[in-house]
Amino acid sequence: MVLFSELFISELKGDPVLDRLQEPVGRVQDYVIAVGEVFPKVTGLLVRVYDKNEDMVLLMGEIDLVGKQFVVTKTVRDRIVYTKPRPDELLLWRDLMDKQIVDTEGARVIRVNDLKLGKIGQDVRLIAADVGVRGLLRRLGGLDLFDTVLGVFGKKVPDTLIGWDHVEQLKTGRVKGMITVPTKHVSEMHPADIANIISQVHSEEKTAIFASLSDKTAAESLHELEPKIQALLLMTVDTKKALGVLEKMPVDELADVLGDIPPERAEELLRLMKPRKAAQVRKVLAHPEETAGGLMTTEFVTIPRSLTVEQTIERMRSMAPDAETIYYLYVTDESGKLAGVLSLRTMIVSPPRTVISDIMVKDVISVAPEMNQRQVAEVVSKYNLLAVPVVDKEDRMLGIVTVDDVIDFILPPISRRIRHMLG
Amino acid sequence: MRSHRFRRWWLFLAILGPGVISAIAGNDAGGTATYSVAGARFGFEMLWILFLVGIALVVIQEMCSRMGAVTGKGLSDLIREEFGVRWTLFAMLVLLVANIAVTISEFAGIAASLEIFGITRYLSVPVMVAVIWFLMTRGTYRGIERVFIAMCFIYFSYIFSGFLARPDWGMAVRHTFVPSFQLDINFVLLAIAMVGTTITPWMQFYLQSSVVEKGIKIKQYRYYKWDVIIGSIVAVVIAFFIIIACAAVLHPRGIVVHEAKEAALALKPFAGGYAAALFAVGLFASSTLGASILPLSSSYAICEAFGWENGISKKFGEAPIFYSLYTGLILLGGGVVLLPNIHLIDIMLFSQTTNGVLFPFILIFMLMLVNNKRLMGEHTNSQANNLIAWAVALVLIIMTGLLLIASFNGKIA
Repeated sequence: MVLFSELFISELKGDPVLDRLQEPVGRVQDYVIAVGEVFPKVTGLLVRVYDKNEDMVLLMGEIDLVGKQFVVTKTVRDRIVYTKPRPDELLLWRDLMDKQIVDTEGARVIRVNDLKLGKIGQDVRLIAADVGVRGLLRRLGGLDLFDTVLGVFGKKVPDTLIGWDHVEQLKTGRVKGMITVPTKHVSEMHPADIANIISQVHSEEKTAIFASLSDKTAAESLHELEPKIQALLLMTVDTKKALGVLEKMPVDELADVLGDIPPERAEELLRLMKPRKAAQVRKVLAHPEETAGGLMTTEFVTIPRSLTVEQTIERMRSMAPDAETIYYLYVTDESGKLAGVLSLRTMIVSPPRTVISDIMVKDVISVAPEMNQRQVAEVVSKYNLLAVPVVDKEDRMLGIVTVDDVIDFILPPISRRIRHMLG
Repeated sequence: MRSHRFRRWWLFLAILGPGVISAIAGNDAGGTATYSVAGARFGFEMLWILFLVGIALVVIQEMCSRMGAVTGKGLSDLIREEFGVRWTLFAMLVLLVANIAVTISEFAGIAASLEIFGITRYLSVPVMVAVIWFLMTRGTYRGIERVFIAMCFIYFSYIFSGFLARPDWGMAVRHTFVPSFQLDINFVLLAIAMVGTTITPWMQFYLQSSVVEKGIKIKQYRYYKWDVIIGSIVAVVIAFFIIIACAAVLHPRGIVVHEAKEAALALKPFAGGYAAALFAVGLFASSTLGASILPLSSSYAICEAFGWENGISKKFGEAPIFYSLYTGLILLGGGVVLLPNIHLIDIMLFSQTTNGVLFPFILIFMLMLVNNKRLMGEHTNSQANNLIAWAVALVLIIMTGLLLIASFNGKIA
């Protein structure tokens, strides 16, 4: 029988365990829980047994009463059946207290100050994590004092609980092979939120979370992270996963990331990548990072000026999946020079048989590959462009710089996850 | 391949790993003051202490970065996870007090260096408080950091000055290896300060989290270890030459260093008439570096230990405690320096003594963690490491005891 509706485990540690004749048996050290359910069930208590002078597990089946101040067993002292603690068991105090967890609702990493147990049916279950000041004060032993003082003003120390259904547990610091809840929650979050979580957890956990994401989600999250963490992830994750993720990234982001990791690893990954993509990445990498050439992507759509609107739309169906933006179509002349640009909108509203060269804008705003990224940002911002083409001296197109690559220079750099700028 | 881009990035890191950077930044206002005063007042006599402190520094920094590499966690994380809330509160209070002391000394360094150029502290300190606050929270610090680090290389000029001053090398070598002790309260105070300024509490937290941030694993650690060891050696070599230069130039003339510009005279054999300016620029750079790093790294350590939202990418409303701590530390550091009748050199020395007195507490936490088999596996401390580290803790505690007894007897100078 459970004699409470809910309580915090910091109030329980060290409680005496008595047998049915009120004889002392031992003291409660920790709580064994079963994973797998949303609110994990407490299956037993880890008890320091006085007779044996060691910690043994007392399963809930052996227990008659669980109260706030004491625990009473079903049988007399000598007939209690204990089990030996297994190393892969999950213990509340040892494995969760003071550790970091992910609050999947608030998309943040947070520390457990206390854990709340509740009576659900006849079971004792873990229902919430206390992550606020109240939990801290309870642990320090000053909660009553603070509540009394604040009570004078008609207030109390605020309670910050996160229901266990919104908690994702981290794996670091646990014994190898221990059962863990699959990281379903985190992988369902927005890539920017995942990046935020990754940037806040310990390095091993960074790799673990990253590896558990789908290639596509991983690629999107990777782009949101600061270069140092990108490098760390690509260095620690296994090569197969790294390649899978890189395949999903656009060429410009790929070049960006590979430019920040040690050259040997970058070269290794480039060699293993699909040759076509690798060649495009190398092209971008040949330009300095802070110039238009280093920012550009080589995935864009060009069309010869002699095509009609109808033919162009047909052609785009086959080309577009690879292109970073299809809102602008770049038009080339017979010698491959950039002759004009056409918005998707103009093309769709034009009659099918119109020739492209009749409707395109001939005066194209373009930049040289050597142009500094700040100037590129100015051009994009001045002409309100979604993308600007990069051309060589002969006016041949090398790539495009899209607005998201230079947005940091237009807006203050708040979007990147800058955490420890030190170190 | 974009080889030049790679080369730039990796060359920079290869030369200036975090170990070397923190060693250079470690020769801050407090360090400069302590070593200068040690050389000026006691000549070569304190060199043996520096020698022993150097060994201890290598051992402790290595231990701390190994802990980061094996556990993947920062020191404040580990203290919280292994010792619970009460001990964490204690450790964080210790760290906070020590770091407040150092922050004050960094602002004292800023004030002292700019006073050499004739700028009053009532102008320089408020301006630098504002500049640092904005630099750090607006995220433009990274680029400027390199400039400051480069300026810190000025400290290498002590090596030239030390040679050009023609010290009595026989004496210097003898005092490095043969201990001599003075039962003088100033000697004890300065000895504690020398340990406290070389092996600081904040450095342990900073170094370990930078190892974690870089994602260095135990496999790469055997290379990385050398960065830490070389960094420690560089720091001690510079300190050694500061003492040598001051002992050779200032000590014979009876200059005991009451003002920063007196300490600057030690660079005269090398820089001649530019000694004061050179000294001031170096002191300014290292103090600014320290004043930038310390308040922020303390706020990170404390917020991480208690699980409060942190990070300069957050807004004030999202991380109120973090920003309050950070702002409070900077204002306090700058504010104390502006109190009337404050003597800058004394503040710098006092703050280093505070560090030395508080460091054993942090060191004991570190030793318990690094010897925990569940955390460290086969990478726990060797017996020699433990012996040296425990000896440091013990010696500091004994010296603090001596200090207390002496001050109760009213012998404090």
